[in-house]
Amino acid sequence: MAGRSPTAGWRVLERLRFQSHSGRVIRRHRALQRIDFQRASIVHPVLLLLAAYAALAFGIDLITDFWTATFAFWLPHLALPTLLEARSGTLLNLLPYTVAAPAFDGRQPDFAAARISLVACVVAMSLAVAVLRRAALPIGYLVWAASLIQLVATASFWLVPGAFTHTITSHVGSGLEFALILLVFTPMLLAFSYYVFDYPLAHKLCGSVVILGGIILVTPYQYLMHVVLIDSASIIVMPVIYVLFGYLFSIAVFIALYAYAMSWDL
Amino acid sequence: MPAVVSPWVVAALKGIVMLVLMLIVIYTVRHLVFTLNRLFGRQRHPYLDIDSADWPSVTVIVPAHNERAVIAHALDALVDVDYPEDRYTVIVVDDRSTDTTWDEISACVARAPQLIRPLRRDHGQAGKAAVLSEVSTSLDSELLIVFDADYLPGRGLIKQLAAPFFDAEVGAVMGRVVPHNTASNLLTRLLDLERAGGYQVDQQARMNLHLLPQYGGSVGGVRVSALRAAGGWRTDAYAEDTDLTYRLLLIGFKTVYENRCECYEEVPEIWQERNRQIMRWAKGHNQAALRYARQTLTSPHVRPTERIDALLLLGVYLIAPFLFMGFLAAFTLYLLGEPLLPSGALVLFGLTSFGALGNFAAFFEIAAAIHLDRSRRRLRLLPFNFLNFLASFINITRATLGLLFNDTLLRRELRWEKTARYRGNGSS
Repeated sequence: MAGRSPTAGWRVLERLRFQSHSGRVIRRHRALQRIDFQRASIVHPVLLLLAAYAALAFGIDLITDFWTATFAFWLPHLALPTLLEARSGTLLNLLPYTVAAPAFDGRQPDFAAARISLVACVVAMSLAVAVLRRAALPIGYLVWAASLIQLVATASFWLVPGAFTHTITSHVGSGLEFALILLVFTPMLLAFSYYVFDYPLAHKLCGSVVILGGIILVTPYQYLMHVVLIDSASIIVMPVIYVLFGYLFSIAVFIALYAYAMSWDL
Repeated sequence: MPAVVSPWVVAALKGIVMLVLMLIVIYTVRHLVFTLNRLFGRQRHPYLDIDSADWPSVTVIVPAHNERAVIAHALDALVDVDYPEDRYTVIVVDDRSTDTTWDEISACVARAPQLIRPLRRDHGQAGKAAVLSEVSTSLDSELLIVFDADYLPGRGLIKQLAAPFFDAEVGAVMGRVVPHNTASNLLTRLLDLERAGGYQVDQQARMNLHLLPQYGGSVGGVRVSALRAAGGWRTDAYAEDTDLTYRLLLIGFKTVYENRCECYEEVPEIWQERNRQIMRWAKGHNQAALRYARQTLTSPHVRPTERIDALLLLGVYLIAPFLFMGFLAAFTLYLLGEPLLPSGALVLFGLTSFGALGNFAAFFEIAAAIHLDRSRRRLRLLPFNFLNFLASFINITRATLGLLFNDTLLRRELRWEKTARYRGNGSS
């Protein structure tokens, strides 16, 4: 049939070819399985992309307002400074946005903080070697990576004081901007990694809502947790939080929700 | 802020980050093309319908070193295959085992003396490549098929693997490896996801697109005349399979992938074993990259698209050290208080790096493979693949640095590291 559009007769033959004696469908072996390219393979991605971007265009203020409201609600409950600083920009030179981050710098580390950091790293690394070597080796790697990052950060605070110019405001502000960009990228990513699959439109619609909604919901709480940790331990912990629980965490949330949506049997 | 370091250093660090980003974007695009091709493209299974023929003579070689737990299962399955007996021999080589492997082999030989030829090695260089090299020199069959001792072939597998060799251009054939001990623990389940992405999508797409499917050493066959034309097995190769894939390519033979040829293997059940395995693969692959990159670039036998794919395939295990370099540069910039990359580039960096390592498949590639395998619930483990990513990232980087410093500069002797087995009464 290469190069010709399928005729009605051909479609009947294709159906009969996979029809068993009892009328059920004979399934192809997984080695030969593929997805038949249908109109939905193009229409679904286009429709869902348009819908997602329309929702983002109209909803971006709602999203950032929700994030601002979350900070405004929780900061006083956590006995943290309540002032918020607005930060504006434009997504893809098209979509203006304003995010609000807690307006305070965070404590500079003192000698005691550096000493605690050093001891904590050594203890964590030793425990990782002693306890996590066998069954939980990757967790051990994670502990080692976090400890090494923390050690380097501690050394840099000591060796190059004043070089580290990040504050809680800039940390949270850039994190929220990153989450917005991730929201913009997500429909494009889903277009070729989810919408092209032969799921019903409702499956893809629900999946998109779960994935985008999940990122929107998790983001303010993720950064609220950062603020609490940095406020209590000084900005000496900001680098390790930035590397392991900042952008990487947001991407892990995306992948977890994507995998969950792809696994549904709707 | 006072300038702590020279602007040139900052520019250089940003350059490194951008270079690494570019590299991993290239690999992600490659994964994406493979995935879309596997989902929607024309699937090439040109030899699948060859069912009855004047079958060529085949020798199956099973190298075994301390394989007490698994060797009998493999040999019994190999005896049970559907292939003309007068053209089929199984050579099992006990390579200086210190357990009861030889007794197990002897018991199997007693059950099928006409099919199995047992050999015992107690001198010479150790390792699979050395076994293959030694046995291959005296072979009189047309085809050679290699199995690891833990592999369980189905009845029709030998015919399926032999069928492509009716095409005179074909030098090697590779089948799909499916883990059978997936239920053991999280690691085996993660490796199952990785293998599915690698074979079901990556290898089949390369077959579809007339690129370079990789001969993987087991569940694969080689035309003996092509092997001899390529110079036989190299005993100084860490990954004799990758090495042979490229030597066959450079003399004009094709390697084909047969997705329908499924064989079942044990995957490592403990992380240390997995680390040793991926380090061995990384070393072998990078060794092949050093040996064959220049020739692949200039060989007249390689088509342009095949050349690009072959070069990218050679580079897959170099991504980890590059990624490590990119991370170091980005982290230094961050500590220096420099504004990092634009957020868009960071999103790209995060999403693309999660899948550009070695044979570690991109997340959407794994999703496509699992979808085609029709076992979608397995996908819920996908976020945990971050652990596999981290372990691979660290160990591939270690292996690459080890290859550069220990092996290339200090010229250490090649050492064979055997994969542990878990069937029966625990590991051996």
